[in-house]
Amino acid sequence: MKRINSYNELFNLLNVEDDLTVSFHHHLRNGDYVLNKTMLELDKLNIKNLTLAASGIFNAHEPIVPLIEKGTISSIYTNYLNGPVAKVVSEGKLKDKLIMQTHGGRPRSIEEGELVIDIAFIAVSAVDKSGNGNGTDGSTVLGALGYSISDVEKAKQVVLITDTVVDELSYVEIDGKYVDYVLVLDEIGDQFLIQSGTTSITRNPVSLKIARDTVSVIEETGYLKNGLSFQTGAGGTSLAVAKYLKKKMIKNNIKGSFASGGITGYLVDMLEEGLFDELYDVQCFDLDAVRSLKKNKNHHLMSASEYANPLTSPIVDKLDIMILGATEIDVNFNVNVTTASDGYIIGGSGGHSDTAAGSKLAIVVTNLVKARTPIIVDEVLTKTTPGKDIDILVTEYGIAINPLRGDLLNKLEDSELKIKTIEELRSIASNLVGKEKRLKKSNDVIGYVEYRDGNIIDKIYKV
Amino acid sequence: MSSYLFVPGNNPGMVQSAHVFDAKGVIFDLEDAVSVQDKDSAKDLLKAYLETAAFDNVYIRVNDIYDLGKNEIEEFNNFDISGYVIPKANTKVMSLVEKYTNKSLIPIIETPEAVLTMKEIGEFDNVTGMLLGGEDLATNIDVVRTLDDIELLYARHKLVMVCAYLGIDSIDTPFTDTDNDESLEESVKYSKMIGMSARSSIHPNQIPIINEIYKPTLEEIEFATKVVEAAKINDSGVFSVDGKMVDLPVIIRAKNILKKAKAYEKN
Repeated sequence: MKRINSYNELFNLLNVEDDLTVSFHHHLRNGDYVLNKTMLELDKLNIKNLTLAASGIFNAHEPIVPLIEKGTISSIYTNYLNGPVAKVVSEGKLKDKLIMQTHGGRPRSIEEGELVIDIAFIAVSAVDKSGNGNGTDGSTVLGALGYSISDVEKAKQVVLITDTVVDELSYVEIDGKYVDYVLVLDEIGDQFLIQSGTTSITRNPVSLKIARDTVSVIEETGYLKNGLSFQTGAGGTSLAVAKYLKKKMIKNNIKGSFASGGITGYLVDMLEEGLFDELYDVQCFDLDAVRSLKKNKNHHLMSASEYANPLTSPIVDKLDIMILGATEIDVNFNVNVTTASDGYIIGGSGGHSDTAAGSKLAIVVTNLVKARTPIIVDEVLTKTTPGKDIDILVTEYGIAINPLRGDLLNKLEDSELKIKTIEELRSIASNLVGKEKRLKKSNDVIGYVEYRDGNIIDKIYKV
Repeated sequence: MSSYLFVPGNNPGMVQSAHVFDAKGVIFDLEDAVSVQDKDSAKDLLKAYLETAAFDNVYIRVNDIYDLGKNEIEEFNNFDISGYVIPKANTKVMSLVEKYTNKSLIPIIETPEAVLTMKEIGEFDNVTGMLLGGEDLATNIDVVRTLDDIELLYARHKLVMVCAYLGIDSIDTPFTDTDNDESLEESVKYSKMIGMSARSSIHPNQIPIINEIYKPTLEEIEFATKVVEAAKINDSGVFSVDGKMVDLPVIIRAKNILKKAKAYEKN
């Protein structure tokens, strides 16, 4: 392992050239300086046709837009794409292909040798003198580094990028034996922008109503029991579900086994209050989660592969309850979280389809109508998660059970909850706002949705 | 359900989702929640909404009958709504309103005069319930509202008695501290305890709390079931269930509890 202080020196050692595949993780989210700095430095060498394999691409990555437009970056593999980069890619400015993978599909493809990474540039908050790294020591903390582990283990060359070198780390997440170089910069990012969504519970009455009904349906389908495992996202309705679940667990004296995925301070509180035995953390959604990761022995790191790789026995396969969002859901329960109704890319699976496939109860929570647009459609614009993996849809106007889950329908036969068919819910939305005008897709394919097993399940079209 | 939800008539998002919260009735407000410059647009919004959405138990709180209220009633008479909530009610106001509509009426008791003439107000045809307007009443008797509404004690209890006598709904005043669920619970428990048949609310997040408190408990339902079953086989007027004396009033109460429980099941 060699320690380096400048990109020039680093690139000389790496022998950078055209057509390389370079990878990054997204643990710094909107506080990330590393991806931009590295790509802009590569651009200075007039390198072309790079494949960017970044686990997530956000607003903060706007500086790489010109690199896409002039062909420095010609292909992108990612699990989540939004902001200005998503816009130019949607408009067809990426020369070659866009592959939208899942959080589990990405490590699978890397470990299987489908996605070969030439150089992995891994931001870490601190390294020690042996080239070990983690995400919580140092001055710019990022939390768990789960999405970088397959890159570190499989890339041809691995560069850790940090602003802090210490004698000894409090723990090792990235083993120095895989590391070729350590690049020390003045700064790697803004840790206060790593937060995902909001960490305060919404007061929005519709979101709270959906969250309450979600917990009721969890209870009535028999999943509210000792040993339950649970995952939800940050912000909005998702966090409100955690709030009502917590209330119900306390009331019914129920203790869960684990919560997993991206970890928020709210889940940390539930761990500390004894409502879960363990947390499995692939990324920290806020600084409370980072603090807990450092001090609580029951708050475990996990790699993206351990989290969701379908070829291992991932945590998602042990999940009981998964709370998911949807930009659109169709009458066959297929979910789109990749494109907006105007066709622009606004996200991607992340762990959506992994957790939907693995969990015993995959619940989509969403308003029936958002901004006067019905959320239930005849056919989603882009299929991110297949309908066979979605069990329940909860909206403020009622709850639809996937007919494939006859067992759930039986359990809810005498329920006081408003159980409706998805077609009935669709019809309520149409009555409220009329039938939505659907975008006519263009003929130009600009990307592909790759399911976790590597199969292409949908195409993304130029806007 | 035993809750009425006030919804500002000029807020499209709130109007659209007003029916999802399981309130017994929704009161679209054209009065205090809507500023003068928004009154017309609120009417337009509600008309457009009512043309496409059909729901039960929709009321409109109109403005002062001597001001905009008269026209508002006439404009909404052709819509499929249950009725009107009438502000600043007194006997004169009600006799005017009676001329303008045949729909159900819920007068608001919010002046000392209305408190003193509650029975006469409630006796007008088409009055199906009376609602206590705590904020205005407090202002009108020059007191500040407290969390336990001690200042409204007389009006609340009188409303219960008058409405029970007339066989109409007694609807308690909204609890206006929308971030204080703990005190809301106490207040609603008190409403239920003194015999108010429903509680009104100005925030959807209060509705599940009100409904939950008003919903007969499992223990109440079990005891009522035992009472009703025992009454079928007991010829004597007085008997005992679980060591408690049961006579005719207890049997009637038990039947009412089972009726209420059934109504909650339906919703």
